[in-house]
Amino acid sequence: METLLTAFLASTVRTATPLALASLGEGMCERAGVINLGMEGTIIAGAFGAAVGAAAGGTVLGIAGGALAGLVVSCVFGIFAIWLRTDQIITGTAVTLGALGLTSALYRVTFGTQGVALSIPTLAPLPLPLLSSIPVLGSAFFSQPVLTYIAFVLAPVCSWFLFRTRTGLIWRATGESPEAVRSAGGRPVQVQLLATSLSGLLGGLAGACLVLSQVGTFADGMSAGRGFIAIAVVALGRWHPSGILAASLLFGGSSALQYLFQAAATAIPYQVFLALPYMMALVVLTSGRRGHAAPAALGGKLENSLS
Amino acid sequence: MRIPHFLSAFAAALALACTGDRSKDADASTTFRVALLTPGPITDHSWNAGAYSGLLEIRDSLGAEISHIQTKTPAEFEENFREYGKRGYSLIFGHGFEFQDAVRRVAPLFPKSVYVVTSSQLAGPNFAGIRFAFEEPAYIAGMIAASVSRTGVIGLLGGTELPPVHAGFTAFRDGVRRVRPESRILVSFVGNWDDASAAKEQALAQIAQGADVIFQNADAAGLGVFQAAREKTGVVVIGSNSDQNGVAPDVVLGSVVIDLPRAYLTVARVIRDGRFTGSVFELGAASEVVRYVANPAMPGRVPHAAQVTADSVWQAFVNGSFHLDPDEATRETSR
Amino acid sequence: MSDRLLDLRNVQKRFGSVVALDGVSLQVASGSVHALLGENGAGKTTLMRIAYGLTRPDLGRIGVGGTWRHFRSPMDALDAGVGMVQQHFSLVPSMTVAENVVLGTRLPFRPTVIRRIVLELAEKTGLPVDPDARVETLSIGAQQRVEILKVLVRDARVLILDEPTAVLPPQQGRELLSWVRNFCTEDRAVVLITHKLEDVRAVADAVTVLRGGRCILTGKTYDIPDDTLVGAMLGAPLEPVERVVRHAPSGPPILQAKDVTLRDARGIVRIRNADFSVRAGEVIGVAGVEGSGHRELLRAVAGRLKPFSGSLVLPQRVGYVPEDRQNDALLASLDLRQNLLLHDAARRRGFLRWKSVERSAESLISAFDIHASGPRAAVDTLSGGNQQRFVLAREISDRPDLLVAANPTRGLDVRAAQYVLELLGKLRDDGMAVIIQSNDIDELLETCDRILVTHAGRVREARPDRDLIGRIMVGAA
Repeated sequence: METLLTAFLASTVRTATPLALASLGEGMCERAGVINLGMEGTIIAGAFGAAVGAAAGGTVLGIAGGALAGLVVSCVFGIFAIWLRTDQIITGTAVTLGALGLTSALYRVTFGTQGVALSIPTLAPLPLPLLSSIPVLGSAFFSQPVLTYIAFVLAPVCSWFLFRTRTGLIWRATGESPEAVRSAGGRPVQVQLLATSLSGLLGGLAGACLVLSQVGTFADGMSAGRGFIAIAVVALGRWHPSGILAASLLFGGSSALQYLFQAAATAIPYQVFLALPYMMALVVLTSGRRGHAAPAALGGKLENSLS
Repeated sequence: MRIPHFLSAFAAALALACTGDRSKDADASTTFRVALLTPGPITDHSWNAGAYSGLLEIRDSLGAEISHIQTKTPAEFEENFREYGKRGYSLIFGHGFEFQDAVRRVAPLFPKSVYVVTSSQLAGPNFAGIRFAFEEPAYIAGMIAASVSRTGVIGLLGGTELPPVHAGFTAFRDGVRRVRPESRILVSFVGNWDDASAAKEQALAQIAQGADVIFQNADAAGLGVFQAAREKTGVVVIGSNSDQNGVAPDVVLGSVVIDLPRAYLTVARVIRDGRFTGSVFELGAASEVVRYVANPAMPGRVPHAAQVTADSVWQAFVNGSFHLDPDEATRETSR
Repeated sequence: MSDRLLDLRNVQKRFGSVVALDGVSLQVASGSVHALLGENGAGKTTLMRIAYGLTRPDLGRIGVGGTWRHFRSPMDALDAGVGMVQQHFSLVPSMTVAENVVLGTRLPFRPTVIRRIVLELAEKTGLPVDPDARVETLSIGAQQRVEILKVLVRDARVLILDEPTAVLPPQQGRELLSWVRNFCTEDRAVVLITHKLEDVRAVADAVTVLRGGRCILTGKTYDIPDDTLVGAMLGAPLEPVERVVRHAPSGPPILQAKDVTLRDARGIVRIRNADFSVRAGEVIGVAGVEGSGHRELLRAVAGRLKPFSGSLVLPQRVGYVPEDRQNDALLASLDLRQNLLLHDAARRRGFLRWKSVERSAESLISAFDIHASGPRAAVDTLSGGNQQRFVLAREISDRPDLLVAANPTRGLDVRAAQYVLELLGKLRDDGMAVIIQSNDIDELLETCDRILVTHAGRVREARPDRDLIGRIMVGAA
């Protein structure tokens, strides 16, 4: 039983990691008032960038490649949605569809129809001394690839940044009322561009995580909707980094649970299990009313800055 | 309804523009032209990759002019079938049973072309399905899996529960039970054919339940199953559709292969030679299109006695003295 | 220019084809309160937005404390010592007072530290606030104090206040003006945008009058008689206000409240056991200080708030001009036709006949002298006064039995306010019942037949006596 529990916890953490990275990025972005529907696109771009980077020069280059590719995609989104003030929802969707198609085409151009198979170097688990020897929890939480630790450290860092720094205050205020920020001498456009870039960076890392610490290869569409789930996770986590991390773990946990349930061979149709994570998210969304609601200016266009 | 009509008119105009003013009929009769519609990327090392190799084989062996397009929605299926029909292609493949509705609608409009749908029972004057007796090698794979497993727990992992996947899994299970009636069989589905990361987690969940042999049929997502086996000692995977032995030679026990290139070539020869009779292409053990291919990089893993039994069952499939009950295939996979 | 703390020279600005400022200069001396007087659309706010870096001038120079400056953003203005409190507050509602005050500053950001800074500043400046309160829970008056603190925390020497008393009840308005007087020491100055003469008389040392984007008059306040100021503002002498002849209401009661208790959105009881009735053909005034319950009372008689208990009988058709017309009565980016349709949108069935809607909008525009380019003009292209007129016109267009109007003259210049009040009187004469709420007791006394005063959740009818009403409002009677 202990091994099964450990397997469940480890699977939870692994499934939650890319989701947590993407959701933290999306959450930071939404806190600044931008809803980045291009997240799915940044993840798949990150996965492709990581595959190219790792194939060329190992895992470190892979992580860098993933982050860079995500950044590029989010910059495209930022230039249109924030700089040129196009509609955020439409722009985000276009960016996602574009990135899915483009990575698929580029993958064929770069690696040929045979692809990279499973030849990409992957990140080995990095057991933390002492912590990893804790029974049950140790191997689940403290014997993970480096990207997992990054995700877990990032949540408190984001929290600290948002709630304990001056820049974080401006960041949050931009999501609530860009006009107030401008009146107080801040620059909402800059803040939102920065926030979008950060979301791209983290979305790229999420993609890199899929390739480098999980599958060891690139596959078309391997982001498999995680960018959209991330948007739900942000709402589930009430736009708070620690809430987002918890919501990612909940999503990871319910996914891991459905994997185990399916594998345990019951008479219930598998589609029921596939719906489990989403049903749990709905339950949490409708039951929890506490905490921060959506940023007031989310998804809105900035007023013309100097008229 | 107005838009598709407009689009097809546009596509026709485009097709005319592309072929220029060469006489379409004359051109079609001199050049054997073959088109392929796949439901997914041809980089999946599996189902779609196999079809594309088949297409290349047709080009190389029969000197045909080829075209390939990746499609996603039923509307796209129909649109592209029309387009190729208008352009006078002799043979148009729809790669998967999901294409059969579109073929049923479009094929009667283009009687000079032959539409072939893989994994389908379809038959008509200028269209037909290819039925692979995938169950036969899957049955053999099940027997071998049972003989290799130490734990007696065997996993089955699919993308979604399509009828051909279901049939293969059922035969595999029967093969396992023939050798070890008491063994436990776990069945999981990813829910899609792309999410390699989820497939890997599901494989790990099966491994945690004790599975040490996993038979996967999940296309691109299946790559995650190999990765899972690599990270756990003593776990082997049986691949599907293409020969996946080279994808991860250290963990692949063998592959249940549909030799798609051979199947495509076989069908293309029939069409080119004008031997098409309007009935389903039945491709089983005897045709050599389906077979179980052991991974040469993993010799001696299968006990000799078990291998001998499996070989003899295979011979029985080939000479027709043993066949699986077709009703078996429609039964629930494991439950 | 050593004593000129703020020095604007020949400022010009046009928006599209409209000239907002046509070469305006303004000198504000150290230690002085300088009133900027003018009708709506005279260019007062635009001039001050330029001084605060929110709007860029087409031409002109800005000097602060003897140096010429170039402001690219409010940050530059604040660094130079110029701060502005805009008429529509720019606070972040979901954040605390302390967070709002330090937003955009370079102060060390630790909760305990900013809390202390805000408390000390509030103490020092005499503007009491609770640093931990969320801004959305505060009254308008408290929000205004937060806005002022936001500017003062940056050591602003020039404080620009845009219509600060317009949103306040009289008592709080007077307190604010005396605060302004005390604030304005040797090395500081205040620019007070207003269109109230009494504000100018109460506190301003100097006054500049703008009209149509030009500077009409500037000088020491005590040098200039009222008539001259009014003449400069309006361009023509104002007609004397005709005293309304009160007459006993003849119609039947159309609104009856018995033992009505009201709760606000957060469940707090705002009005307790109120009894009153309104007859057709009378104008009822409602007076009350911030938080006394008048806001909920008005929403209830307009049919927007269901009583928690008691019985409230309302007439079939009620017109409503809410206090915040931009957010509660209009869709700013849509045109006048569509905003007109909003009026009875819930009752409409079937298809819209745009031609007839356009004709109705046209007739309202001409009947109420609304300055708009046509029925297809977006609401946000109209000035505040014209928006108010449009809402009023829309609400009375189908002859309701009762018209409820909150602060109907808020933000209007003298002429527009007079027009609105006259119109309300005319409607009354036609047999309509009218309920208006206003922060200006004199306005109520001039217009209303009867006056209801709210204080701490109680509704009382008061004799038309200025002192008595004032005492009831603050709870002294």
